[in-house]
Amino acid sequence: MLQLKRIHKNRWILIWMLPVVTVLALFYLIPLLDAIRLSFTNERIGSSNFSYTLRSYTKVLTDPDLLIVLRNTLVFVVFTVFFQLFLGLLVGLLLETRLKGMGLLKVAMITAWVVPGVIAGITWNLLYSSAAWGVINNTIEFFGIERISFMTQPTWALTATIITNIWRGTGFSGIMQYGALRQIDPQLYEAASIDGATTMQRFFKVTLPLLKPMLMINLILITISTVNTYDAIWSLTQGGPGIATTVLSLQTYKTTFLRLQIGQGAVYAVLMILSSTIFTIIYLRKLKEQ
Amino acid sequence: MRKIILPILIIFIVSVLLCSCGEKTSQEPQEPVVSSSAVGTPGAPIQLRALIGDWNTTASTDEARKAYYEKKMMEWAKANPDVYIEIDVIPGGTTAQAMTKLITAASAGNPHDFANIDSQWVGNFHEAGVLTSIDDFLPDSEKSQYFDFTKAVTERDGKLYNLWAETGTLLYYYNKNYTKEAPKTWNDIFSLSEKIHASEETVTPFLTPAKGTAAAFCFLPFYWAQGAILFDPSDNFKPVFGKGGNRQAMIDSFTFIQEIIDTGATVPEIVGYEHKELQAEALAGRVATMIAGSWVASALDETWGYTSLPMQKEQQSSNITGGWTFGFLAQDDKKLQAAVDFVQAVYTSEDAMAERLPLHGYIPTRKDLFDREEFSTPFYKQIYKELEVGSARPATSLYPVVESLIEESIGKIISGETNIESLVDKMYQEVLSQYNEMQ
Repeated sequence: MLQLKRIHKNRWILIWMLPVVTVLALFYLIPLLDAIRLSFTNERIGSSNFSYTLRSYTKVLTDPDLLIVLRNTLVFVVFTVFFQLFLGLLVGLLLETRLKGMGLLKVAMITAWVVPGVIAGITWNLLYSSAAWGVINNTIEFFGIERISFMTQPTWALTATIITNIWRGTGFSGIMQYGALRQIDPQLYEAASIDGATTMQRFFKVTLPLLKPMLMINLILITISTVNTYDAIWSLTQGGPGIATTVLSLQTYKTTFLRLQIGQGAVYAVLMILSSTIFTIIYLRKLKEQ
Repeated sequence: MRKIILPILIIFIVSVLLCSCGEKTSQEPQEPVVSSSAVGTPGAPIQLRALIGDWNTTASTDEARKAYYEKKMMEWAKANPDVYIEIDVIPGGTTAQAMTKLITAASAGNPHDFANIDSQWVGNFHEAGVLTSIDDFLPDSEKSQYFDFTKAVTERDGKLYNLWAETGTLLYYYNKNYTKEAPKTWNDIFSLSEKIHASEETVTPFLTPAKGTAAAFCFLPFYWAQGAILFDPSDNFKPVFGKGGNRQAMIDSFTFIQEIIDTGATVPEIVGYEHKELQAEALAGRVATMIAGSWVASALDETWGYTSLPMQKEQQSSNITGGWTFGFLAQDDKKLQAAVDFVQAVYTSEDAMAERLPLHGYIPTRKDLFDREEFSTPFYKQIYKELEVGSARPATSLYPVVESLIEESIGKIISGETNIESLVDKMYQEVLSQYNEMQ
């Protein structure tokens, strides 16, 4: 009875929420559930015959390439997230100094963030290329340094991919942290200074603790977007050489659209969801502890 | 409240009146239109939906091509006032997504009436059973003009389903400053490489693309030239490249890639090279010989010659053909006739190909074009020779899988993987297992 009364009282809230709930269900929940359903099939694009089976899971989980793909993903995510967060913090602090030219820096940061992944990949390809037009290689060669095969050596290729993604995401991270820095009450710094705190002490005792909630949210958003990144990698290396830069998202794309195995592609997608969820749970627990 | 309701009511009534006026005018005869989203007379009794690559429409960013499509499409629209074609374009670089989307829509019973289909994807459409034969809508005199390599893709059980609109093939380019005659065999490449290294020249002796779809495209002629096949068309396109002589030919072809890296005949950087990177290397004078697309020839100057691809043995020859077809998915005869007429008028008739293909740098798929003066140059004579020995990529949905696995394997070999036999066996098991699941 009490619950009915509460529903009656909140009926307008429910009605106003209905469009959002509908959109979320139609465009997020149903595709998500369908991806999970597909992962339990052996469906192939273009073929109407399929059956419900665990074969897609066994094929993916017993594939020796999976370990390499998971390792690539872990390295890609950990380094990207760390540097995007760290460099973003530096950018935020730099913007907060309000020195001359900071407006330009803000524009540069936002530009890097809004550039579509495919364009970022193509641009960095022009920089890294060992061909006649490779900007970095031509520059270092001019100074008498030996050319670097960014796209040939597996370790270099993965490093090049990580640098590209750090470049893309640092702007977003920096702007987020700049916003949080501006919310810190200047009186707290004044009080710390009166108490004799040095610049470093003010950073570690005032700035960092107050930035932590934003850092955590930033961490979650960056992690999810990094796990999902495929466009920049595709246009930069197409996952090569071999599978040296193939991460989970790219393997999902390759399996689904190049090998047409939508069932197995869905398994990789489920693995992506799982990895994002695990990272998010760890971060949220940390946030709660603090 | 009235203050809000009254204006809304007025806007609604005015809108309804405007719409009804629009309906009246739509019944009047209308002028034909040509744009990147439609061709024909609006309101015409025959309405078609087409999916065409944006480069093959008035959306082309090249002025000459755009002018061609505007002219040809308007001519067709004026001659066919009873047809209206709504066009969806395929953006460049989205082939895989566009093809899978089209197959999915066609399998669900909601396809376009005709579509640009990449020749390597035609097999997927055959297997999905969504293509309609156009035998009754095209005279035999037209069908017989196409090169033999097209038939392996466009025909099934003797019936014609697609029109192959344009192609591209491979040539072996050589810089005459480094070699008067191009190497004919793999051993000749190694000899040239030794000569160049001994002379302390800084050029790379040999390049071949090893990135993306270009990797398999430039690799397969080595394999086919040994008399090997990937799939057996007489056994429902069963994969056979992991057995007997085919397996050995695949191992030998991969070993050649390994040897050109190990001997320094080429550079490991090829793993990041497609045709455009090779073209840049040639223009920068950093390569002596290279395998690249026929479309690269126009960018090179007279110091460059071109010839057939170097093979394991001198008497071997092979090449590969790419390009796009038009596939027909409509079931209605009137729609099919209109679609075939449109494709012929703008893309595949002798006159259309003669005018259109040079604008794109494409190669004709019809033999009769090579009788024309403009297609009788030494370049086109070489191309004719290549098309005669050229093979299309197999028309099975498993080909893209093999292509992707070949690219990965080449990347692994260049990165230092040495167990080629195991790579070939793994590729074969992967494709065979998919084939078995499909049966």
